[in-house]
Amino acid sequence: MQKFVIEDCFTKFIRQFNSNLLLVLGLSTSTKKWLSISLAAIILPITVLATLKFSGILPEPQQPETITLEAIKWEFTRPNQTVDIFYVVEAFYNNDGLTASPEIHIWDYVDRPYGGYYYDSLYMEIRTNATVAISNGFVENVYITLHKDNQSSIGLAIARKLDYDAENLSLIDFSGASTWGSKAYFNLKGMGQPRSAYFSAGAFWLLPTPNSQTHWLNVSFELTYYNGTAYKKVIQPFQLNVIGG
Amino acid sequence: MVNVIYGFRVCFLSFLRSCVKALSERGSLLAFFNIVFFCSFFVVVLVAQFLFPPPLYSSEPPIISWVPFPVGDWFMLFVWVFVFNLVVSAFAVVTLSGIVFFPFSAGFLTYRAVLWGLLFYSLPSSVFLAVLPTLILESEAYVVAAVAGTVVGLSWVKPSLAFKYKELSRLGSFMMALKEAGHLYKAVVLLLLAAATVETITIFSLT
Repeated sequence: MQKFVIEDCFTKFIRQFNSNLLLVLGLSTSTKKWLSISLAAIILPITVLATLKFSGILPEPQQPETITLEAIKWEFTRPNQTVDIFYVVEAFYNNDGLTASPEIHIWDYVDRPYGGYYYDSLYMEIRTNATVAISNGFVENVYITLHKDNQSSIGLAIARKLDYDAENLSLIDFSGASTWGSKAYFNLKGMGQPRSAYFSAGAFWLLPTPNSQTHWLNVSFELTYYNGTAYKKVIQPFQLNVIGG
Repeated sequence: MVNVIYGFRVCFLSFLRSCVKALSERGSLLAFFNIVFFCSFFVVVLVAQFLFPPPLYSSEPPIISWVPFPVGDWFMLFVWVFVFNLVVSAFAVVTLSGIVFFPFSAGFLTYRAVLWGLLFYSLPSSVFLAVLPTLILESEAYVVAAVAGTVVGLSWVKPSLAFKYKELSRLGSFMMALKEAGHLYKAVVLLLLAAATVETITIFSLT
């Protein structure tokens, strides 16, 4: 009995399938010809592309070779008053056709009464300049991160997308960092494969602690460029320490 | 319950029949647009290898950052992808432009093939394979949308060319072409529904 039910279902399914198939098979020869051409137009290029891709004839995306440079350190003892600093913590890299100069311009330290509405702060300007001196080389992207301890915070001066200066770089994304956030960052992309690029933006390092407290901030400039044959990523770290007075 | 299922089946089959009939009537145009689209895409992917430097590997998954809600909501993502592709990408860009002036449909279709070619050349093999079903379904939907746009656009410019064996006035031809485009759009909706389903699954599996 059960066998007959299964057979009946199967026969119904085949009949249904055939009637649906007749939708296509019942078409005129000319229509079938055009539909076959349509199918061939889809299948052929896609199959050839997939074959070229998987056989390795079409290249895979390149992983950049990473070069990490020695960290540059700067220390400053927290004073009990507001002071102008005007100090430039800078690095210079010149290799493989790339000239880059990441810099942190430290402008001033503002001292405010502890426990008040406003915090002590260090105002700095993050700046970078890069040039690729190879005919078909270019700056691909620049990624700047500001990692900090969990008591201080980073306020970026570019709350609006106007308060920064960039040449041949487009600001894709950026973020400040509150006390519970771990890092602030700027994500920049080269516009039209530029051979030179420049970026500058302000940042406040906010220190909501008494003057005796020490804080640290690690700034990292990651510059990815193409040297005509391969991608390379140069990482220049900076370590800033504000020592409790 | 059985009647509901039977009714639904009958409706769906008549829906499919009208799609296939409309497509078969414009078989040559469909074949032409398929050749234009997929060959342009193929050529651009190949040419990009020689014109541009090799693409840079990105560790970040390819997520769509332009959707106005969190990507985690799969149903909203599906609805957004389907509605955006149907209203903006298929209707406004490909069909409507063709209704205004019929070669625009082919132009915008080719432009999309070029853009997709430039996007696909930089993808790693694994991602390329994952997005291939979405590419085929969505492309076919735009090809059918271009056929609809061209038919309607041609109907008011040269009715004799749009409907060869019928003596029709400009308005009569336009109305008839609109009706035909309606049937063609059933196929566009079906293809885009399938494409949105596959694309949502692909985005979730890749992220």
